[in-house]
Amino acid sequence: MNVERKLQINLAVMVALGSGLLGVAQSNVALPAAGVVSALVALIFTDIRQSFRLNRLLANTVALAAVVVVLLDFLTATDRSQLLAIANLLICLQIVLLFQEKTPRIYGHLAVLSLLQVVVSAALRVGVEFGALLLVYMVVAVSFLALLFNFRTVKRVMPPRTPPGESESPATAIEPSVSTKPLAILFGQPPRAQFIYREEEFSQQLTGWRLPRQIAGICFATVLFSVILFLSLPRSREDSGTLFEQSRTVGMPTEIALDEMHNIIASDASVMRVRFSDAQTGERFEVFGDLYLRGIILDYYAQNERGKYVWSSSPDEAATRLASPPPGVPGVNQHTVLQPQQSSTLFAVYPAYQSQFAPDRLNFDRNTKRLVRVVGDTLGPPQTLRYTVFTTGFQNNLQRTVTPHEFQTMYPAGLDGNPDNLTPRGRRRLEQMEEEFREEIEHLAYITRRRFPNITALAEKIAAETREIDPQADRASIARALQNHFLFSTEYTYTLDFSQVSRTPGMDPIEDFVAHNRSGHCEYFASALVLALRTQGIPARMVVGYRGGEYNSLGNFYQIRQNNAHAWVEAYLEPDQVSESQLPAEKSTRGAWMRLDPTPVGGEVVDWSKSEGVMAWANDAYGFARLMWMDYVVNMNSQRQQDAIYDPIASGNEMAESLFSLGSGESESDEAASQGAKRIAMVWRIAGGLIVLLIAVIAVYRISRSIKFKWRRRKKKVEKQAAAARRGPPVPFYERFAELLARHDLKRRPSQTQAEFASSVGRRMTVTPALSEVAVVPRRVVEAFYDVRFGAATLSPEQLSQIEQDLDQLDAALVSAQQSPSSNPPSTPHPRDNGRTSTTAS
Amino acid sequence: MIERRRIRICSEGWYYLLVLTFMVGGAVFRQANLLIVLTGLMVAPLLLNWRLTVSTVRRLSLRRRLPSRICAGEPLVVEIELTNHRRTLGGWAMVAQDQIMLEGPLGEEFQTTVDVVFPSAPAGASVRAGYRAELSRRGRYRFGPLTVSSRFPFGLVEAAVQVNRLDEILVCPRIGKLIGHWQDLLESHRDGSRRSQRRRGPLGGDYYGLREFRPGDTVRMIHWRTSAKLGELAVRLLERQRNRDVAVLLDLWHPHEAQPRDFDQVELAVSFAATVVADLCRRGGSRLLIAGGGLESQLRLQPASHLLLNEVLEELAAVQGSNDDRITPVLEQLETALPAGTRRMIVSTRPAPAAAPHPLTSWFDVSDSAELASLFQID
Repeated sequence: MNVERKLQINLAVMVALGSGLLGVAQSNVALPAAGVVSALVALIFTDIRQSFRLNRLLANTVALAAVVVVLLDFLTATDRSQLLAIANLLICLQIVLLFQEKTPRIYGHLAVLSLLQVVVSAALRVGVEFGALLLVYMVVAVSFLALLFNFRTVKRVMPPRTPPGESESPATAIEPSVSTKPLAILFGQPPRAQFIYREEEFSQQLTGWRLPRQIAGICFATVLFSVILFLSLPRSREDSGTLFEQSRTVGMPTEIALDEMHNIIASDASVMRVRFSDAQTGERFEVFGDLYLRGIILDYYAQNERGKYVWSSSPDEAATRLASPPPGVPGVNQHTVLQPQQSSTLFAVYPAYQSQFAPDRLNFDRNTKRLVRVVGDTLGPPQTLRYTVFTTGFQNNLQRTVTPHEFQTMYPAGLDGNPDNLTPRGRRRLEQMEEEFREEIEHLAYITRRRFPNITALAEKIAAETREIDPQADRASIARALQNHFLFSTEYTYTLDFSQVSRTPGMDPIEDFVAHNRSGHCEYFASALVLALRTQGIPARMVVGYRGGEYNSLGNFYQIRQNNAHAWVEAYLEPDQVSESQLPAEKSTRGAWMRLDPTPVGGEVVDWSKSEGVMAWANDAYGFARLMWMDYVVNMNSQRQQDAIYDPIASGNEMAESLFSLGSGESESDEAASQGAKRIAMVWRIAGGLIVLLIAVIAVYRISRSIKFKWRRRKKKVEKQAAAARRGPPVPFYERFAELLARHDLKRRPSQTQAEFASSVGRRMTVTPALSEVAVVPRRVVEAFYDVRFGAATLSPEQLSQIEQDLDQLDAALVSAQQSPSSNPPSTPHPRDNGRTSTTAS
Repeated sequence: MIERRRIRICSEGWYYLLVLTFMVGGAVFRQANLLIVLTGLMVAPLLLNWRLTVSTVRRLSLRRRLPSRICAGEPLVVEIELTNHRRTLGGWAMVAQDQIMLEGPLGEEFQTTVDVVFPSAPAGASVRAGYRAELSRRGRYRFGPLTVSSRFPFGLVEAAVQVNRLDEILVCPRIGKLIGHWQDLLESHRDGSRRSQRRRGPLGGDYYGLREFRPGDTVRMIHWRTSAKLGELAVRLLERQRNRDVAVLLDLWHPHEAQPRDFDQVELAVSFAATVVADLCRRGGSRLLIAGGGLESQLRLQPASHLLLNEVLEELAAVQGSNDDRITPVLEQLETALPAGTRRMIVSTRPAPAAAPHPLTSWFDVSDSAELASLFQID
């Protein structure tokens, strides 16, 4: 496969990836899909088979039309739509170019268009999938650049192709002529030169196996550089650092109309990540069993003006600062990263208190009994929110089913302390709240029983049965019996598919659910239980929040998705009905809420924390990658950069300490600092390990190369010395003899022995009149040389003198022969003598 | 030796920078994190390209091998050897650009460059590559300077180093073929020669000397007495009998305002003259005199030999046409300098005058295509 074919395949992959990225980024995938298909079709029919090529004029016309159409879209659109218009234009232009005959210029244009597509995608999409695809794209783009360079190199040295039917020189020779070529071509042609190469071999050398290795190395260096640049480039903004804020928000409304929630519930959009840590040690806190994150409280059920049966909450009231936890009470910190929400509701395990170590600006709405953001946070577009709350809602790593009433958690000092210490104004306020509390409890127990005859009958029946079994059955026992009825009865089925469920017209949907059509989702089950409890005089309310979630063992967090949304019930227990074991942390001076969940499991919640195997691990890895991507790439801002990068570098010693103390089990007093340090330490440890490994590999490589080089040099030196030793000491007269002949261009060839050389020179001298007298000198000298070198003989002074005389004669004869015009000295033309060499060094 | 290093951004690099600039702008002003990531992913290849190209052209040496002399139109192969003296870093896709230029006033017109690619040059190793050149115009050509450049691996940045050591090659006139009618011309002249034929040896020549026996020599050429004395076979060298004296005279006239065709005629005349001399030297046995056309050779006959041919070709490589009448004075000088019976061959770019200057003169007008085509062919 030649370079161009590889380039074409690579281009098709790159274009398809670029279009794919754009398709992932925008909701309308038709045009990106067309881009992908065009890349493949053009590869086959335009590049390989060459059966279809777009005429340049036609191509330009189509491109111009596309520009006009998209420009109109662009002018009428705003922000994100403008960007989408640009994206579509890029794809249109790319398709037009794909079907043209490829030249280096076209290849370059296609690459630029593809790159711009990625830029647009980056502005539209920020998910970790984009990051993964971006890495793949980078590898493909790097290989494309390398192949394009090789292709240009080949084109640079290849002779231009002569179109078929055209000969190299025009046949305009005038007859008769001395040549088939015109004289202008014979004599007036400028110099022409052409690199000598074999195309296949040349292409192979350029794009052989070394190319993938080089690309891998370049990609590694590119990623390393990008990571360093990204982390070190100073940020000044404190927002998320995305071009376009995510328009998709998650969450739940504060008013729920039955039959209208199933579509939202079925979504798998991420809502939040929740991590728990021990408030005292800062270590990971593991949660067993289901996790319930309370959101909003719905306590009003009525039919609205449009005839819909709606659950709603109390009206909002000015929120007050979240209370601090009771002193000395052990608890758990809940760290939450909440996706952009339209509502101000925050989710937490209750009872929730202000975190001691990382106080967040959280408020508690006294009326709606929900945790809310501070007012300032609601301004502007929704953003990802991070908050930490302290909770005492766990006991033996299980979430407690009983939580104290909010009145108690809001004013622990006023209730548990001495009210006499309060100011008159505080006392009046407390009295007012006591009254509100009594009204609330009364309200939550109120129901018009004749509106719900079926529910009332069912509740009466179950309560009677419970009391039959246990005459001492208290409010909690009856509530649990009612919950179990819905939970375990085979008459009820859980479903999200309401296409097969029909409600009785004109009938309350909850009544219908209990009496006739016993299919529904969690809101139906919860609604039925709340009403049933109220018929028995038990104050109850519906709670909407999230249950379950995917536990990620790598990142130690729960991934909560929209399909984890859930509704359950809280029933009020009087203080005397709450045992101390149920509320060890707080005294139940104002009663407590008992959580009841009447919804059958029914596939609503998948608890990944119980899963094992490759899929679970892959899911964990994916979740963790997404966490890292969102935290350290997409949402990297000035604060995070300061915390995660600059501060650890500034306090190098502390960082090193945290690196090496990680995993040693040492407790840290500062819980938040501990958690942050651990995460940072993990990132730095991985990065540091990689850098150390890289340096080590480079060092080993360079040292080995250096040793190898020195070893070779040493070996050559030893070989030279050995060769010199084999030759023995130089023989002076022979050295002179060789030098003398060399001056007259008579040199011994490497393939000749000294004797052969002497014989050859002697023969040549014999046939040269001026040298015939000294023709025997070479043979004499070489014979003497052989005696000395190989015969270990020692020549007498007379013999040496004779040889020197012979050499003098030889020298004189050669000089005279050279000066004589008629007789040149014999020469032994060396194959290289007709070629000159020049050496240039840089 | 003068070196000049140069680093520049290639056209692809400018495109790349353009896109990168937009991206950097977005990354800096909007602080969009993904644009910063993309910026890093784009900057890194650019920096890598720059560092690799700069490193690649360091510590290299080049050798150029080429013959000292060729004839125009003959294939010329030039070999370039590149040695990478670095200890660790290899070099890939390096391009050596050589320049070929005709020395003299026509240099601007007769020049070219050629790229020679070295796909790889491992550290501490030498690699060779070559190019084939065609030099149609005679003269002295200068090779160099050599420029080694690298754009590896992406072609965004180019680093080059120029080595200014030059080489030369002499391009002799193009040698053609003398065909049919030429042989008749020579024979007719030989028949009319008044010089007595010297006795020839049994093998068609006079004894000239001895040399060692080589495969292909006939046994009849062995000189047995010398062979016995030397202890190995020696053969006789015979020189063919000199049978004619020829004076080749060049008349490279062209009009004052010469057109390209006139210069081509001059070239054709030089080429024809060179071919005639080469033929006569190859035949041997005659004495030659080459004159006219601005040649500075002595006006005396010399034995036709390869040595003479080489000298003449070197001189013919440099002769130029003129709008002066340079042939008449030469002819007048030769009237007294040449022995009787010497044949005069005048190669001219213009027709012969009405009255021939000498009975033994042959006038070859190269502008007469029909006449020349019956004598001479050139590829």
